[in-house]
Amino acid sequence: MISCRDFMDEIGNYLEGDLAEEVRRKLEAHLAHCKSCTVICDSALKTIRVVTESNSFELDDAEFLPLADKIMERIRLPRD
Amino acid sequence: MKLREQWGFVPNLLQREPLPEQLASAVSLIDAVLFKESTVPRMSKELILMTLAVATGNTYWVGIHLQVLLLMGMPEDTVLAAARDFRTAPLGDNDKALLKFAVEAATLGRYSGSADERFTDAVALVGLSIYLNAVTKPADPVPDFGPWTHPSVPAPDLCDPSIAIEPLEPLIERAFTERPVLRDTLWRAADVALLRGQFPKTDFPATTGSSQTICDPDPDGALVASARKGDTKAFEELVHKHGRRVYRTLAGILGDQEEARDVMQDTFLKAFRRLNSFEGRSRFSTWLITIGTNAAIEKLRERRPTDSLDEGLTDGEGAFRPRLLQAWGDSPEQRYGKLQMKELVQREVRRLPVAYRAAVVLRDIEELSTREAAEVLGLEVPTLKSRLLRGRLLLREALSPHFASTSKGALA
Repeated sequence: MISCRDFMDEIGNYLEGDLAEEVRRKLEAHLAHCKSCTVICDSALKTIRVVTESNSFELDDAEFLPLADKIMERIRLPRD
Repeated sequence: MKLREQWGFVPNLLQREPLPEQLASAVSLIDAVLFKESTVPRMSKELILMTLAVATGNTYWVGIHLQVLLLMGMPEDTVLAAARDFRTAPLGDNDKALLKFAVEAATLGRYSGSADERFTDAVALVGLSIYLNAVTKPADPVPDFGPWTHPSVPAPDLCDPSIAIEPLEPLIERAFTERPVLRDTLWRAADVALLRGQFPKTDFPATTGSSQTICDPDPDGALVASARKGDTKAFEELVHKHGRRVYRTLAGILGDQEEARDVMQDTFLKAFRRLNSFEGRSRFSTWLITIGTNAAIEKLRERRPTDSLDEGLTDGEGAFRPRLLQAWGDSPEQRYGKLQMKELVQREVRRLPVAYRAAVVLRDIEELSTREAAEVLGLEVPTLKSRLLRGRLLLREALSPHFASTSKGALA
């Protein structure tokens, strides 16, 4: 049986889905009876989802196109 | 040259001057797996490679190994019979067992029967064969011998229910341990996923689509080639294609829109000026993001020169213990409107220590693979993973007050 400490050691790979079958099973067995680790794991997965889906730092066309033009203007200038 | 020494000739594929990195790796791998003495006799190894080439339809390498076997003195009838169908060819039982194992492993990702230490060698040979398949097609070499037509080899029959099917994983691990160069080369040049249960039935392996692999050419290849010759229209297309992404990464790392705009311009200018030194080892977009990320981190150092990138990092085991153990509701993203969510995430990402912030921005916002993100930041993969985890857990803590089921959901 693995401890919470062991679980936290592997949580990174668990969140990435990057685990050998055997290890994953052991971790899930731990989650089945450990409320704290389940909460951490669940909220961590949701955190990643929220961040990925938040469309943060996006530029719309009105903001982006003038920037693109400015870049090309500088590129087409003779080298300074 | 090793190849000439061992084979008596150098295959056309490997005669390029200078040898591109992937092909140089092929030579190292051939040396470590095929030429180096091990439990399996050299001739048997060539036989295995020929059979694997037949099974995976790689006629180029069939020709090579067939020729080598003839040069090594195997009777022509035997060689040709083995190429047609090893199961009925006049070969020893040992060889047949190894061949059966290798072909099953390569085409089905499993094996039947018991494995001994010779099978570790066979796994290494399967790995070599997959790698050679991967590097051969794009290079499209002229066949050295032949023409040689590919006979159809029926897939091995594993339908006998009395035969237990074994997974390859433990043997692969052992092969990697005994032949580190196998792991290094395959890791570097093709997805390890190839070997981890995704053995192809065709000669060219599927990729997981993440980081650049040999069989997965850069979608920007043509545009980059034109831009290199001075075609500014082509470069403009690249700006439009990748500009928003670059901005997003920079804004995430810098935490400031104005600065992000400035650095974005500098990034593209640098990229344009350095186009000739871009070697195509990674995708153009990865290279571009690397330039941008470096520029952003440099900018942060300029801002606060006394702080290092490692500011705020916690060291060692146990230094970071998650607190705030309230469960979140099922759909946190529905708690707030889109704009509020966006601002919340932006604010909290900005608050992360830079090293963690960069990892999270690249992996969770830009959705680069772990390997690409590590490459961009110039880190070893385990270091990147550790920073990514810390970043994610810190974000979790910062967001918890907003999304925990019992909270009222007020933005602080």
